[in-house]
Amino acid sequence: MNVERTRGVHESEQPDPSEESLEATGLEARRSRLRPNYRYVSLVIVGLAALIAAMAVNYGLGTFQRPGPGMWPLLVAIAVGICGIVLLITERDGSDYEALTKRSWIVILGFGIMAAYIVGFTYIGMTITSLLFSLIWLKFIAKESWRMTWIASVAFTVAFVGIFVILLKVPIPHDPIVSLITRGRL
Amino acid sequence: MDFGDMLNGFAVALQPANLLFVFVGVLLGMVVGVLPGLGPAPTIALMLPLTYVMPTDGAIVMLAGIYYGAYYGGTITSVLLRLPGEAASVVTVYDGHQMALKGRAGPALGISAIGSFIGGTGALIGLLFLSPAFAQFAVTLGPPEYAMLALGGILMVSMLGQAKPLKNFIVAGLGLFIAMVGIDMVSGATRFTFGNIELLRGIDFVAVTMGLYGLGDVLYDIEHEVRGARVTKNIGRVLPTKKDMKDSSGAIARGTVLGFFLGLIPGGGGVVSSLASYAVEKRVSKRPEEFGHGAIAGVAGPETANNAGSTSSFLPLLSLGIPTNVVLALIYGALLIQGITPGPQLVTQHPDIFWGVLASMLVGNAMLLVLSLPLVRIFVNLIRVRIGILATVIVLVTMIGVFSVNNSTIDMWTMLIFGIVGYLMRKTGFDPGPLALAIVLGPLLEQSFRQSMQMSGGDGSIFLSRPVSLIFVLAIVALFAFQFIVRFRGRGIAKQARDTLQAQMHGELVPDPIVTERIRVQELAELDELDAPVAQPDNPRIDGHEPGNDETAHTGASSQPTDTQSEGKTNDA
Repeated sequence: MNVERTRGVHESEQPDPSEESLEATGLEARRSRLRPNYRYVSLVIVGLAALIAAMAVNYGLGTFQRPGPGMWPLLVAIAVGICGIVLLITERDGSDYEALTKRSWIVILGFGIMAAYIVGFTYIGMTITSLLFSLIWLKFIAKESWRMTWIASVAFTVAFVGIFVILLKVPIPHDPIVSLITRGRL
Repeated sequence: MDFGDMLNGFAVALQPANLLFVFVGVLLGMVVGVLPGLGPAPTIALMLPLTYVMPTDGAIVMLAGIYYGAYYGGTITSVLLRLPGEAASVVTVYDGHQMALKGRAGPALGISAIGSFIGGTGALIGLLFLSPAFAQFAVTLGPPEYAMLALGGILMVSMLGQAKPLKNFIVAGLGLFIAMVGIDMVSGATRFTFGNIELLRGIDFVAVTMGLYGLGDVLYDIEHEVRGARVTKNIGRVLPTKKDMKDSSGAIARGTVLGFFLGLIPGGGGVVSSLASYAVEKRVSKRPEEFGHGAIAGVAGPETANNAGSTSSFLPLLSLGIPTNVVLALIYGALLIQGITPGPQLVTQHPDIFWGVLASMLVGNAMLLVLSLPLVRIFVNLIRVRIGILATVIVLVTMIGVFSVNNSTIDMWTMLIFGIVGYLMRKTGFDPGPLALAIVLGPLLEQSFRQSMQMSGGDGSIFLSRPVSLIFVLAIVALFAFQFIVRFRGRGIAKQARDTLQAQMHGELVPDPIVTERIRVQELAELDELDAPVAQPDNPRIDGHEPGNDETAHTGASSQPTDTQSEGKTNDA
């Protein structure tokens, strides 16, 4: 049976031999080890503010009596830029930052599956895509058993098609399964 | 007079359809308050597309139900597991959980529900007297006052948010940029569209919030393998005793008044109210040393105050158009979706909505009271739901939901991009909350600022020369100063609560092993180290559990272990 715990307990006890050194000192040590180059975040913010300020000047600042479309963006960009610089100077411990870990690939996988869902939703319809999405997500990301994966996937797909397509009549892109059910043809 | 309007509001709230919506909202709120990894803001964001097809009053009462229902759900996990589901329940951890350790989880939850009901009712009565004055006051406000109100709202939420204020200001600035994308309403110029026609209508608020909260949370959680927890079924008797009621009555009365007034302030609402109430109760108590060790007033006061605060915070939202916190920003978004712009006209033109929402909160609180006492044992088990299954539902709801808003797959991509932004924000210690608020308040702030500058001929002193505007500026400065003092002094309940929240953000907060069900002997050995700090040699007595619950006694709150008991338990298991 699956032993469930919440985040903190789970992470500190995860019996993953590849992360033994992390286990020994717990989450805090993991966090302290994984904080490289957090100052880049502040630099990105300052850079973004500078870019927006440049664009704002381009839109036309107007005068204080009659502010143009660029005045407000410029003021906000200056404020954000100042905050970014202060952050760059004053932030010393980096304890807020988590670096990418070995598990971060799963986020990229999750992102990829979500992107594939949108493509599938657009071109092959909601029903098949939702079923495939649930199967893949539950099995490979949530690591559920096949039995649970199939039961939940079919249940979710039926429920969502029922709620959104049949009950709320959301005009989804062409869906052969829904067409088959509602109009008797693909 | 507003009394008639208020009665009319009750008529709206008591319509069968609205009763159902309130019920669904409260139930959903309680569920998400308990579920790991979901809070009121993400849930309301997820529900926004659904409000398109609902009547206005039904939609808003349901969302309001999620708002205060989630507070109560958060209380359940605070008391039983030492895991505050959301920020307003953080202080409940300190005494509520200690009560649970002494086998008094039931009365802690019971007094929370009772206090919430009284706080909500008191706030509603307060609003009855205050709202006419507020509505009159609102129509006297000009652009400079609105600019300062909107700015104050954003700054206060940033100051009081979960992350560092400086980071929150940056996030709020990003929200203001997002609000600028599209056509400038004054000059007609296009801004930040990069030649994309889809961006002319601006970036959809629903897509942004669903991405930040829904997908962002999912992506973060799958990386961190958040799991559900096993919990005790042993709650003890739920109804507080006469002595409990006597001990809490002062706290509930003070919490109602304090919460009511703090809810009206930008940045206020449930979170600040609960913190302030805890601080006040500790100060006025004859036995302050009991606080942190299971003082029922430390649960009753904050829980009452956060409900009173969340009720009264609807007044600035509905009558001024200023959402005072993130959840209200989302409800503001829902009102806009319905074609209703909150502001001074709302109270006079749509009294049914204004009073209907407030009356529904009273009805909803009554439902909470009725639901929570008998059902708390069932709700507690919700925390066992596995996040992977929950995540599947969240992704499907967000994807199909965001499509249904404009029937646009572009919105799905927008949401996905903001999902990544939300994930990266969490990884880098930024709280997405101020961003949602800034998107909502951005247009009002920019417009008011530009109008103010035109009115004054470009003289920025207009914000200081008008009395009401000056008062707002001084209030912002005073609150800033207060916050800095609190931060740099580094003590007190606000600091403690912030540390707890940050620990939770970083996943360092763990469910208390004492009330966490233990299944295997070897797990006990693993958890021994965690047991040590929470063992209470001063209070070794085990009390309060009902005989019927004995099947869980070896795992539950009642099994208050001293070191020796802990060993014995290992053998038993």
